[in-house]
Amino acid sequence: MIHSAIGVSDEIDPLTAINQIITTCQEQLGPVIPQAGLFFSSCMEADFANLLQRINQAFPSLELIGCTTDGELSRDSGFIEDAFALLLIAGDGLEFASAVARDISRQPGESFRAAVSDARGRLHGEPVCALTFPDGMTTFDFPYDQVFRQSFGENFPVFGGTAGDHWLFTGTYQFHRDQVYRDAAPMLLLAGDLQIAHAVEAGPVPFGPSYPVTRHQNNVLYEIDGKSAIAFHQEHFGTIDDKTIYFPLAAYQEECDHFLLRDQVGYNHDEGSITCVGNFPERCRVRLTLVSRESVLDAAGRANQAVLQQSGFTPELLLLFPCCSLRHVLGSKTSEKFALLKSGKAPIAFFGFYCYGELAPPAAGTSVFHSDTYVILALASTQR
Amino acid sequence: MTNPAQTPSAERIQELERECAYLRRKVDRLKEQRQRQEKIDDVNRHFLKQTNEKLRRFHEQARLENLAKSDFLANMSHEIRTPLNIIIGMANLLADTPLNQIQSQYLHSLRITGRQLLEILNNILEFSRIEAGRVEIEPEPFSLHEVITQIETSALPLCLQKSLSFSVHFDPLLVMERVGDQVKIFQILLNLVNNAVKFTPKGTVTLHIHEDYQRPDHLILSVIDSGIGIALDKQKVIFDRFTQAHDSLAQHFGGTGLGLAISKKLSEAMGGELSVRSAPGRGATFSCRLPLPTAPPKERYLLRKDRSDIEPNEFPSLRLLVVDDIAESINVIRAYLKGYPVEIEGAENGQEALDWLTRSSFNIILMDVRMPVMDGVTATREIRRREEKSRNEPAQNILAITAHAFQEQKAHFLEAGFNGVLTKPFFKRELIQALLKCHGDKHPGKRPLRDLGNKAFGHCFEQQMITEIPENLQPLLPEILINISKSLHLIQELFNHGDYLALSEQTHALKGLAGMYGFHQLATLLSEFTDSVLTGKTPVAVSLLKSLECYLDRLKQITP
Repeated sequence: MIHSAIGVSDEIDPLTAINQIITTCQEQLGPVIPQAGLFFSSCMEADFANLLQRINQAFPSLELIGCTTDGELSRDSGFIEDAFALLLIAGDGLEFASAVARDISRQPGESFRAAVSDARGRLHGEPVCALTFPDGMTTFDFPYDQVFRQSFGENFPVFGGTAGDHWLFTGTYQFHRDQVYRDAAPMLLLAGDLQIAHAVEAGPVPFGPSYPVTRHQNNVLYEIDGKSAIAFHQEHFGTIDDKTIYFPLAAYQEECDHFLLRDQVGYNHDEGSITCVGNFPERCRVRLTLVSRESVLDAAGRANQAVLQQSGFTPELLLLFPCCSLRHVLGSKTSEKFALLKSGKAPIAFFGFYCYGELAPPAAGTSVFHSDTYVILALASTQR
Repeated sequence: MTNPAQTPSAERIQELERECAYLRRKVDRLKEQRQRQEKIDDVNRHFLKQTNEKLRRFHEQARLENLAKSDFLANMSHEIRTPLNIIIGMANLLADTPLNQIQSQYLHSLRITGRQLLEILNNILEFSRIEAGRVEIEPEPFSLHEVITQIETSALPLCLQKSLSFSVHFDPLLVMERVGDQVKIFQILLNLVNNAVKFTPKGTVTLHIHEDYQRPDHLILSVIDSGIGIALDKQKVIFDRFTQAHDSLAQHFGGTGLGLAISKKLSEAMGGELSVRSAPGRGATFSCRLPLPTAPPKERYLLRKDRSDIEPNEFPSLRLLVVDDIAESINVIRAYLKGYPVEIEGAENGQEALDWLTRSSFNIILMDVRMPVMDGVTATREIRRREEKSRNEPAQNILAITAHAFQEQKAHFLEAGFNGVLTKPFFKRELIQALLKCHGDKHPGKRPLRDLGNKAFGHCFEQQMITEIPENLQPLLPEILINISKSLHLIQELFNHGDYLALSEQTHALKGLAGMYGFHQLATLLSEFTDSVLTGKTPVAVSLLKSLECYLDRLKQITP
């Protein structure tokens, strides 16, 4: 059985908030000693080192990782921002080991391999999956699939999301134990008697014809359909400004129905290029997408249903990693996404954060980087 | 002064400040969210506008392509109809020559196939026009007799081939001169009759025309067959284009599967409806309900004149100029008019026609539209221009002969100065009528009603020309109508009471009155009614009584 405790607070004073959270968690756990923890916050002005210290004091030897976000979410609070959120986990027959990869934008492969090796070395059994929350601002062209393959091994499931900074775009923080990092990727390996299921669904819906990407490098588009990426963008969006960040391009690999969404975030008029979040596959085509509340709610509904009804086991804990764009589109309807998760007879705890990008295997295989999706991960102990 | 008791403590002030900060933060977030939402709405609006613009462009492109398709079809129509006209015309002429049995059989096949080809061509063209939304309904006075004759002419050979009995039934009181689009009505009925013949292996095909008593000025034209019938589920799809109820049979019988779809669309375009009642093995009844008001009295007179066969000795002496670049087309016209007091000259193009007019005069010019050197439209415009210049000359009658079957093209020809349009392929009768109409338009005649004497009463009444009754007879009208009305009421009562002896006497008396004053239809109805009663055919008698009631209703409407 998985024991979990969740504390969330949007108190204006961070210290008051963290004290409330710790008290709540201690009350929920009772005599259970937590093994691992996830800590998220979208309150960017807080003294995170101090807060982490308080958590470590309250729960010594906790395998704690976390990051700053674009909003937190839990069963009791729904969507909440300017808040602090802590999940504590313990489980019979479960093992947890945390580590952190540093300077990931400069040495992606090496840093991840070292961190994974460090964490694995402290586990007795084989890990079932990993959670990681890399910096979301320094990793626009991070080769996630390649790095995951090399450091975790082929087809190893890695879940999580990239850290945000509450839409300020000044810099994100990552947390490991009592340390605060930038340009890092804290990770938590989960091992033991654990079963998992997950689903990924895209909010925006591709429409219209597809256009060949005639020149690109990693996450930078230079030419689409034989014209400069800027000209293409201008032609279809009629404008070049931050409005279009909510309307990602759907990138299709050659002869493949599956697509990855890529947000456009930077425009180089001299080069005629557009910088996106996430790399493009080779020989791909792109389509425009439509964004509506209905399609976002549909996507979340499909993912929730898939995990709850088709996973073959009853989840004990759900971890959610939706893209921040989904909450921006939904606005006041943001919490409607979780209606199905709350509707069951037995309450299932859920916890997560709004990220700048999501990490999960598309359906199976090695995890990849997503944008504008809703990722849900279900966990349950095999010992019940 | 401040009341110390009401001064908040420092702790309370801090608490309030925290709450204010908390609320300010919430308000800020709401503002941010609203701004984000506005940005998303902006892009969505742009997409919507762009998509609408694309839709508009695609729609326009589709419209232009559809026009191009229609033009192509119009051209194809011309290219196919011209030789087909010659083939059918020559085959008709050949049929009037001595032939042995084998030659007759071959010729028969040739004529049937020619007609079928014409029908298929017409159906495809018509449906293309309907699809393009280019159906124009042209209501004009016409005679149902004319339509019936055309249908009989078309259906009888097909029925004979399959040993089917074909008959037409209509209420003898029905005014046959109506206002509607004769061509479209003919097309609907021909499709229905052809369909009936196709799916009736043995038995009968009947065209039944009667008034819709529930809707004034509406007629129900039904085609009833004793054929294989249609299952209920198939009845829903038979009006869809390219759909036939019996796919396997359709292959055997051929056809485009467009006939019923066209008929339904045309019925609806005329403000009517087409429906079917059927069951497998029990035949089918296709009923077309159309608004067809009666034609004005003057038009009815002219239509009746049109309907009568024009013998050569009744035909006016005419001098014609036939302008066509295809010599066979001129020969067909010469052959059709053989024996008529008509002198025909030929010209190969518009220029030659203009040359002819400088040295000779003609009652009517039959002008083909498409010709080398100078086309018919240009030549006609030139003739009209010359007429305008020399104002004393009477306007030349010019009939366009064209394979362009579309209504808008006909309108274009009339606008160009033609007096009328004769569409290829045409038959002798149509040519005669067109010439007579074109020639007679300037000299409309009127048959003297005075020659009918007392019988002018009934004639005018039954033809709904009550105002045409000669003045010297008009004072007698109210009394005659009241007598007939009373007598018909009495007949109804006697029939309802089963007093057949008195009924027989009463009908006999009324029949005499009807005969004396020219109420021909009434006299016929009374004869048939009496016969039915006396021979015990009660259902027939009841039906005829209804017709008499209808007659009575009409009588009441005009009785002063």
